Amino acid sequence: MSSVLYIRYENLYKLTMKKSEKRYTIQFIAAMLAYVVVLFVCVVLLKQFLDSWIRIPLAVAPLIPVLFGLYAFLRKLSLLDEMQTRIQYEAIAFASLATAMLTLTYGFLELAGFPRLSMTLVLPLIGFLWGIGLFVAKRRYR
Amino acid sequence: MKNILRNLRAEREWSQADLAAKLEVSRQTVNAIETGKYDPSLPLAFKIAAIFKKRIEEIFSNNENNE
Repeated sequence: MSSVLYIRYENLYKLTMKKSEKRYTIQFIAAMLAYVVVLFVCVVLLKQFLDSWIRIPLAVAPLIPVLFGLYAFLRKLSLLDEMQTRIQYEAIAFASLATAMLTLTYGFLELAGFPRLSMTLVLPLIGFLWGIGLFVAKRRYR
Repeated sequence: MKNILRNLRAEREWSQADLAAKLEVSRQTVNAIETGKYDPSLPLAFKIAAIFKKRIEEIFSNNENNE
């Protein structure tokens, strides 16, 4: 009896884990798609409202889908087991340190006359480096 | 650390996914523990021991010489 219950519980666990993991992945992708759309609309609208106060909420509006995306990402992180958490920790540590070093280096190069780059490039840079970190960390435990 | 997880699992004819579900971890984690690439936390080691009804030191050993 107890073993039957145990097996059921296992299947339930597998099912719910996969479902919620999938749900957060879908939420994350939806948020990123919304981000692209909102960003595009805001950039177009911004040109027409440059002398109005509306330009300020318009300029930061793309942050709203980004926050939804981060929320889904954090929920997904909370579902990870101990080894996956460790892999994420290594990847995120690598991404933060590498981003810090790259932005600091470029900041100094700007003093030497390199062109000024937009701060919005930092987030995709973190994402890119996090991907590399994840790839390397996952290989270590395979 | 070395362990006999793969043998214990094979004796019971469980797949890595079966054991992973029992332990509430991913299949990748079970694989990494079996190959010695990842050492489980103490709570997870106790969980593994409970599932196979053995003591932790019967499953895990500190180096390759003592089994």
